[in-house]
Amino acid sequence: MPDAGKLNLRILWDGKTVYGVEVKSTRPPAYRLLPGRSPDEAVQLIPLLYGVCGKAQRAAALAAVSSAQGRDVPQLEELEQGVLCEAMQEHLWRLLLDWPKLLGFPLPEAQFVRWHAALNALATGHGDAENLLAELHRALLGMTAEEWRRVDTQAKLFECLKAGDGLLAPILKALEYREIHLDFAGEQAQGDFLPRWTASDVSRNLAAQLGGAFAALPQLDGKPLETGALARTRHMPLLRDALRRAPTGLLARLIARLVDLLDSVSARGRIGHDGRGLSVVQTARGMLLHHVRIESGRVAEYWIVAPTEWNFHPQGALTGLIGLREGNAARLMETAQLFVLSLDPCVEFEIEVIHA
Amino acid sequence: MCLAIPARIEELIVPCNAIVDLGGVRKEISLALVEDVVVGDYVIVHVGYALQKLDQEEALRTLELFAEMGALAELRAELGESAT
Repeated sequence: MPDAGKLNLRILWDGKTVYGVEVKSTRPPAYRLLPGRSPDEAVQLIPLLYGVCGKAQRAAALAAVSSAQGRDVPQLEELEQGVLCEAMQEHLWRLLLDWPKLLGFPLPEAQFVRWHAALNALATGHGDAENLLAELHRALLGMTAEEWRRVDTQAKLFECLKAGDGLLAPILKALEYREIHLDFAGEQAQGDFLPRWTASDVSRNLAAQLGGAFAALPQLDGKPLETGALARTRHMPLLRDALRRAPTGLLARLIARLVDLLDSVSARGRIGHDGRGLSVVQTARGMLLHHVRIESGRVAEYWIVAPTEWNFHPQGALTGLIGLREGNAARLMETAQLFVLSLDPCVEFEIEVIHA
Repeated sequence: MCLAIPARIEELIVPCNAIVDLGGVRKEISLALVEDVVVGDYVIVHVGYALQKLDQEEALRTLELFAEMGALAELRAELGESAT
């Protein structure tokens, strides 16, 4: 049977406190199927293999191959529009289906289906982006875009949400409540974030490490970094305030996703390359890297670093669970699910609590 | 990263669900995000929803790739190499 693999999180727990986490991946490195094929074939196969975020994967493949061949990326504007719409669909999926389900709220499925279809249309140049964004502000937050832009602290966010009837108000409130009641032994340290690098920055900063082993366990100077909406937005006053209140970042990641969704008016700059076969695409989950080396018209080397590799690194953000004081295994499992969903894995995830 | 194994629609369930065969495992999914799907079509499934309809040729080609990948993984395991 074909296997897309999964991620597994083992939480080591002594009955009172979490003292370790182990993250394992059984996902096959599908990019190993590409060497030996023509560059065009690689570009065709990648979106078939990675169908869930197919637009971003295809754009990254086209940009990497074009870059290695010294050509401009064809139809860049259309590709960027597609990548943006796909990222907005992914954010809506988390916000409207996954978070309500995990926190025990009804799923606004009908609205989700309608907006998903509207974004499919926008990806192909149909529909009105401004109208859709105005509708999303109203429905999700009960605010106008103007009101949302003025929200610069967490307190102001909840004050504005209280005044409206946004779909996400109860979700945000419930997550805030869960997060402030988490009890940690010692100070919670905030993790490190991947800067918003261009492809040339990636080449310059990671050149010595880039390769297959790096693709499986990416890090910078020995440190795993978080990528995604929070990494992109953490300097904004609202997110700085949310992270200061709760360095675990559960609510901050959810707010960051919302910012990423609602402030993504421009699709420009989501796709870049270094002119030597390395491409970078900004997806909903964070930075997607592709690298190709072409020799005699064939792919000689290909590897992909997906955001999930950064965010679910064994020494990465999930180690934030270490030190959590929780005496109830079922509640510990629920908290672990909040951590995992906040980091948004792109594959199936299993959690086990190991009581030693 | 999000690999997508094509799933074949085996049975339609009113109003908008379906049973799919995903590598030999039968699973109920929602068809709310796709249009005009009939029994025998292949779709990409993501967290319980059919995300996209594939044409038959694409789907079969993708399944072949996954089979090839499975064979590669087994070979590497036999040779004692890491699967990652």
